[in-house]
Amino acid sequence: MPLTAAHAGLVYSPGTAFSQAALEDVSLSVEPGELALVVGRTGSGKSTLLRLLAGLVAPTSGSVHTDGLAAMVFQDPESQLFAETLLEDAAFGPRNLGRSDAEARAAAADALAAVGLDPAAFGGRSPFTLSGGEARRAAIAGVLAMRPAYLLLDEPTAGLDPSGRRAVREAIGRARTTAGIVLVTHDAEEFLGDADLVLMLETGRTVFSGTREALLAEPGAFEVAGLRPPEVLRAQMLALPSASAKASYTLDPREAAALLAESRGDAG
Amino acid sequence: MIELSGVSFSYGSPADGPVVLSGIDFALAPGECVAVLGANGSGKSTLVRLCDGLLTPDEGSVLVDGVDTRDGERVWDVRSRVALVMQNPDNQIVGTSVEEDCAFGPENLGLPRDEIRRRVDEALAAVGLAGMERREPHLLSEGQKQRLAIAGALAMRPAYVLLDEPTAMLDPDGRAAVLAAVDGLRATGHGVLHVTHQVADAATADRVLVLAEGGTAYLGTPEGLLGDPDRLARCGLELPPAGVLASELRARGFAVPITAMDAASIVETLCR
Repeated sequence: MPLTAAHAGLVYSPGTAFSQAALEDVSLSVEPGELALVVGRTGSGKSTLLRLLAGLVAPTSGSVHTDGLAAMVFQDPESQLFAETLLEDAAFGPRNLGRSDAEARAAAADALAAVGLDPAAFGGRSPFTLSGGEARRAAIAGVLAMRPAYLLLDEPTAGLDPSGRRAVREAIGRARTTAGIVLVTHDAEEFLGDADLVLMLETGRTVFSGTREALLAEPGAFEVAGLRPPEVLRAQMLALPSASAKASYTLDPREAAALLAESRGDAG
Repeated sequence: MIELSGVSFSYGSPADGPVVLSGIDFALAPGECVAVLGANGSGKSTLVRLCDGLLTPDEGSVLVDGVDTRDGERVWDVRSRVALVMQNPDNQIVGTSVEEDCAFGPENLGLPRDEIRRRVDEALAAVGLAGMERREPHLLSEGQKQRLAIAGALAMRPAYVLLDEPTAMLDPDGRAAVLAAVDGLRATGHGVLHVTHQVADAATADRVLVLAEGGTAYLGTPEGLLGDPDRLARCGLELPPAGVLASELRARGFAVPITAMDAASIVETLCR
């Protein structure tokens, strides 16, 4: 059974003068092994949706269902690292789930390996001696060690340099072999190529919901959501606006170059 | 001119920690925008703090329009010429309205009321926030907040503005608006140091400084960096997808400029 939000809505302070709808009638269903990308501007309700999926808040309308643990990695998660060693830090979650010491440490070691931090080299390190990208991955490992069926990630690469981003993206790719992923971002470019499903939100409402391929064929949804399409896609929208061309839109810059060059004939 | 000559710096005594910057020679002129790139921990933020005298070098010197930042008597001369805008605008917004926040600096200078008003109006107009004077800062979008932080810096009438990853926390719209404000700073004669993780930001700068392991890995034109894949790789950087698209089109004979990093300018050259 997938992780599902069905017509979920959330109203803050319902029935009062301060009543404010953060999310209205949003549906999403993610299977293990899938990556669902939730994109929208700051304030579009995407982090609220993640909190609903994690069970941190209950929807005020509709429902959220899951058959396994849906665990959340908050923004800036490395600020929550606290233990003396990385292995102990990652073992904290499984210990709290009642696992034995040996089980918790084994799960922590597996999780560190999964995010590309070799437990032999990093397990004994202090979390406070890591680079930005390493600390972010260590924090993700702390959540993975609980062996969640679903991993919920809020802007997982924000503030990292290119090599840190690359390493986190690879870690997410590996996590996907054991968990379904819901990833929230305001910058679609970085993860769109990895996404199976895309949900676009604007002021708490669904602007687009469907596969990545469907979004590429209907890229106008980006503008409705107040988002800028990835530049490579935007170049194709500008140069090849015809309805028939939309079917071949691609995120790959090399394929896009071929398409654009073909449409313009040979260059002088 | 902000001039760094043979600058080395480490936090604590050199025995305590690694040297963060060493042997840096670099100058920022008025009216010039220099983009600073480099991995986390390469010394970018330290460089910014050396340029405005928050930190002083262990070796070498930093001169701001001829004033040494180590000269304790003239610290105010340095601070009044150099403004710093940090990554998270919430860290430097103090007022309860947009205009009040922007007025905080000039008020502390003890300026007359009409002069403060003039400076605030000019600064808010320069960053596109005219008309939002009475808005409460916490109701602004993140991009608007960052532009307010820039306006607060501008109201001090600095000669140089140092921006430490001003777009790192912004969505693409907010980013575009802040970058336009940064461009405006240069156009009005300010020397601008723009620390960024976005290789695309280097395309619009006059010069690019890449720091790696505390040293200068590249200092030169944007074209010299962006048009040289090997050099980019050696600096630990890579072209954004739009840059890859542009270079693929160049390989196919289209005259797409090396600094074309957005769809509009790429397509414009295709249509010519």
